[in-house]
Amino acid sequence: MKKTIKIRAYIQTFFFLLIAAISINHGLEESGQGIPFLSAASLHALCPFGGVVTLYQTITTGTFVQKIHESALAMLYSVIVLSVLFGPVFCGWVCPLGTLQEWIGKLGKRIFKKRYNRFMPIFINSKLRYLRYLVLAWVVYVTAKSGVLLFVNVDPYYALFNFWTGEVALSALAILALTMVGALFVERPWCKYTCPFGAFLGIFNLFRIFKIKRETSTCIDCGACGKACPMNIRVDKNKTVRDHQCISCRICTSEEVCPIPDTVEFKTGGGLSEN
Amino acid sequence: MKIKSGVLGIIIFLAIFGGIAFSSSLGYWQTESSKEPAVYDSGEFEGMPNPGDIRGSYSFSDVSEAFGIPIEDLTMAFVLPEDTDPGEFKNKDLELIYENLKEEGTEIGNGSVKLFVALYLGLPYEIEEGTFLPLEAVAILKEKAEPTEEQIEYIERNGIEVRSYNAEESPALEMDDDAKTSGEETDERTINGKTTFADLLDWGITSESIGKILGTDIPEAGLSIKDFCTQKGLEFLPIKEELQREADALDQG
Repeated sequence: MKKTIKIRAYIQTFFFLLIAAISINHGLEESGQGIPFLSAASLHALCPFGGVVTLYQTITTGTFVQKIHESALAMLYSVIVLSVLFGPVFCGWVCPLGTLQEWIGKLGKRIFKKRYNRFMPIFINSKLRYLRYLVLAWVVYVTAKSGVLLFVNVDPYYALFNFWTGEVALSALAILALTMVGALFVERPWCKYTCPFGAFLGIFNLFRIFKIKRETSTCIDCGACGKACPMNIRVDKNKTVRDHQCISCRICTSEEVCPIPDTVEFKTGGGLSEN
Repeated sequence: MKIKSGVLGIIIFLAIFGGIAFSSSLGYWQTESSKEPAVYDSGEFEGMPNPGDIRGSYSFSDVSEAFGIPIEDLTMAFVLPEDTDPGEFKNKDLELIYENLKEEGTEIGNGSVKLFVALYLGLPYEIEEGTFLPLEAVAILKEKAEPTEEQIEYIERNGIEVRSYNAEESPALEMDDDAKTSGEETDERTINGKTTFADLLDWGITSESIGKILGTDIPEAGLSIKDFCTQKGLEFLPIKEELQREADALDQG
C-alpha cells in the first residue's frame, strides 16, 4: 500500500498558521497588546511578491513602493533561489492562499467526486491560464507608474489575513469570496488563472534544476499522475514537466499517486530538448 | 539526483528562515520603515533625503525631523484638527480626516505630504497627476517656497478648500489617547475656516483692529473670515495669522 506523504500538508499548515498569527499580532501590536517573541510585521513586509512590484522603483530611485520594505526583497531572493532549484515550491508548499484553496478543494472533491476540477472546457481553460501573465504585467506597470501598491485593492491574500481590520477594500474581499467559491469547483482557481506571483514563479519551470520526470520504460500509462495533478497538467504525456503552471507539489510522483516506484520522480537531469 | 519530500521540506524551511537570518545579520531584514527616507544617490541633491520615500507611517514629527520643515507649517498646511498632536499624527491618517473628500473622488494623503515637502524644499520630485493639497498648503508654498510657474499652476489647480472636510465635520478620527492633547489647552480663540467676524468681535477684538488688518472696513459680521478672503481674492493664511496674533494678545492683556 502506497505511503501517503503528509509532509507538504504539515508545512502548508505551519505557514498558514504562522502568517495568520503574525497578521493578528500586527493588529494587536498597534493597540499595544502584541504577543512577545512573535513577529508583528505587516503582511506586505513578508510577502515576496512585494519584492517583485517594488523592483522597478528600487532599481531606478533606490526607494521602495509604499508599504513595501527591504524584507520583501529578502523574501523574494530566497524564493528565487528555491525556484531556480525546484520550481514554484513556494506556491505548492508555502503560500497560505494556495493552502486555503486546497482545503476548500477537498470539500469540492467530496461533493463532485471525479467531476471536480474538470468543469472548465479544455479550450477555455488552456487560454485562461495565460491571464495571470496579463495580471502580472498590469500590476508591475501600475505599481511602477504610481509608486503605490494598488494591487492591495484586489489582493485576496491580503484580504484573507486582514478582513477583520476594516482596512480591506471591498473589491479584494469580493475576489477572496469568488476564489473560495471557485475552489469548490476548480482546484486552486486563483493560482491557475490570476495569481501574478504564480505567473512570475511559473517562468522558473522552464529551466529549474530539479524537475518532475517520468520514466517511460517503467510507466504503465495508467494516467494516474495526470489525473491527480491539481493544475491539470498532463504529466502522463510528458517525459519532463516544464509546464509554466506546475507548482512542484509532487502529488504526481511515485511517493504519492504513481503506482510504480521510481517512475515519476523529482530529480535533476534532462535538457531542454528532452520531452 | 533525486530528492525526497522530507528533504525538500527541510530545504524550504532552511531557505526561508535561513534567508531571514542571513538578511538580519546583514541588517537588511527591515519589516517597517526606519523613518529615515532614502537619499538621492546622484545628481545635484545627492545625499539629501528624497520626499518620494516618505511613508504613510511617518508622523509629522518624523517628516519635520527628516526634512527640517517646521512642524507648525505642516500642521497648518494640512489643517489638522485642533485636538491633534501633530508630533504623533501619521501621514496616512490624513485619509481618515479627509475621508469624505476621498468619496468625492479626490484625496489628500501621504502623496500630498510628499508633494508639499518636495516643493517646500525645492527638491526634484515627479508630480503625479491627481495629487491634491489643501489651500492652506498652497498658500504656504507660495509664501515660503519658490515653486516654478508650472508648479504654481499645478498646485493652484489642485488646491482644495478642506475646512469643511476635516475632523470638525468628518467622521471622528480615532487616535490613541497619547496622540491627543489634553484639550485643556484649546481655547476658544483659535481662528479657523469657520470663524466669523462676529466671533472676533465677541472675543473683544475691535472692529478698528480688524479693519486695519483687512485694509478695509469690517464686512458683514456674520461672514466667515475665510469666505471674506475668498470673495476678495485675498490669501487667508497671512490674514488669519495677523488676526490670531490680535486674539492671542487679548489673553496677555
